Amino acid sequence: MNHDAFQETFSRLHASEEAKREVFFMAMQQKTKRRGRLAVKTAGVAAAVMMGLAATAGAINAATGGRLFTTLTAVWSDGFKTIYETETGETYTGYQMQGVVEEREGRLLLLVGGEEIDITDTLAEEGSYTYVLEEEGFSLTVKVTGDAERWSCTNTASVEGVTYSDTVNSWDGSSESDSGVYVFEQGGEEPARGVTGTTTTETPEQ
Amino acid sequence: MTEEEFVQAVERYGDTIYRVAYSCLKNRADAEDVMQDTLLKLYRERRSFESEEHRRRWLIRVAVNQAKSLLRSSWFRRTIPLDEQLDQPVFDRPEESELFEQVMALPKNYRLALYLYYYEGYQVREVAELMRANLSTVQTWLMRARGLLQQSYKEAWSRDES
Repeated sequence: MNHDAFQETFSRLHASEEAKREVFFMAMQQKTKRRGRLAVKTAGVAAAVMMGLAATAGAINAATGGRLFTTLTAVWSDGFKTIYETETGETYTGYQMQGVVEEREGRLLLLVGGEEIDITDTLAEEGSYTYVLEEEGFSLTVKVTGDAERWSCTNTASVEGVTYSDTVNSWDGSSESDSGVYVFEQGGEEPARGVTGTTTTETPEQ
Repeated sequence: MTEEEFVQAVERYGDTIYRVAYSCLKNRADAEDVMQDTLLKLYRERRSFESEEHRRRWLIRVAVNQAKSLLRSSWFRRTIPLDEQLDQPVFDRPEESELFEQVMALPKNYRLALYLYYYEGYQVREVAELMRANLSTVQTWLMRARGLLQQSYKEAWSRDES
C-alpha cells in the first residue's frame, strides 16, 4: 500500500461549502429554540391551552385577558416558536409546548419545549417516558408509553387550574393531531434572516 | 460553545467527519448528512474535552455510529444503489481515481479501517477503539484489504499490459 498515494487520493474528498454553511444555520436555529425555552421559564408569561388548529387569535385573547384582535398574522415560525402580529402592530410570541412524538431513522424522538429528546432506549427499558414542565399557573406533563413500533403519547396541560388532556396513538391514525398547547408572551422579534412563512387567522368581530 | 468556536470546529473537523462518513456510506449526500448531524451533536455537547485530540476522536466515533445507524436504516438500504452510481468525486489523476474506486469496492469495515489507519494516521489499537472492534479483527481487516488492493492492482496492470 502506497501511503502517500492514499493520503493524496482521500485529500480530494471535501464536504461542500453549502453543507458547512447549512450546519451553522441549523446550530443557530437550535440556539434560538433554547433561548425561547429560557424565555418561557423566566418571563411572567400568559398561558393558553387550545384544542384546535395551531395558535389562533382566540388563544392569544385568552392568554391576554380577553383583549380582542380581529386579525392576527403569523410572521415567523421555526416550528417551536411563532411570532404573531396584531392588526395594530403589536407582537406576541407563542411557544408550542405540547409534546410531539416523531419517528426518525429507527429512533423515537419526543419534541417538546424546543428540545429533541431521544426516548427510544428509555421506552425499551422502562416501557414509558414522562416529561414534566411546571411554571407559575401552567403545567405540562407528557407521557409516552409503548415502544418504538407502537406508542401512545398523552399531553396533559393545566392552565390556571383548568386541565386539558389529549392522546395520540401511533396505530390508529391519530398521530397527526392538530391539538396545541401554547404559551404566549408579549413582544418578539423575528430573526434577521427574514420571514419564513405567513398565515393569517381571523376572529369574528364582537 | 460560542458561535465562533462552532465555526472553527466546522472548518477544522468538517472534512474529517465527511471522509469518515463517506468511507462508510460511499455517497456525498448521506456523508454530508452525517457530517451535519455529528457537528450538531458537538454543538449540543456540554462536556469539556481534555484536548483537541480527545474532541477529534469523539467526533470520529460519533460519525462512525451515525453512519452505521444510517446503513442499518431501511431508507438507506432502498436508496444506496442509485447514490453509489451518482456520487463519485472527481480526481485530477487517473491513478487516484483508480485507487479510490478500488478502496470503495472493499467491504465497509475494510474501507473505514484503511482510512483511519492510512489517512488519519491512527495506530491499529486506536482504530479498533474508534470502530469499537477487536484489535485482532482490525488487523485482519487491514491485512485482507491490503491483499485485495494488491490483487486489484495486479489485475489493473495486467489489463494495461495486454
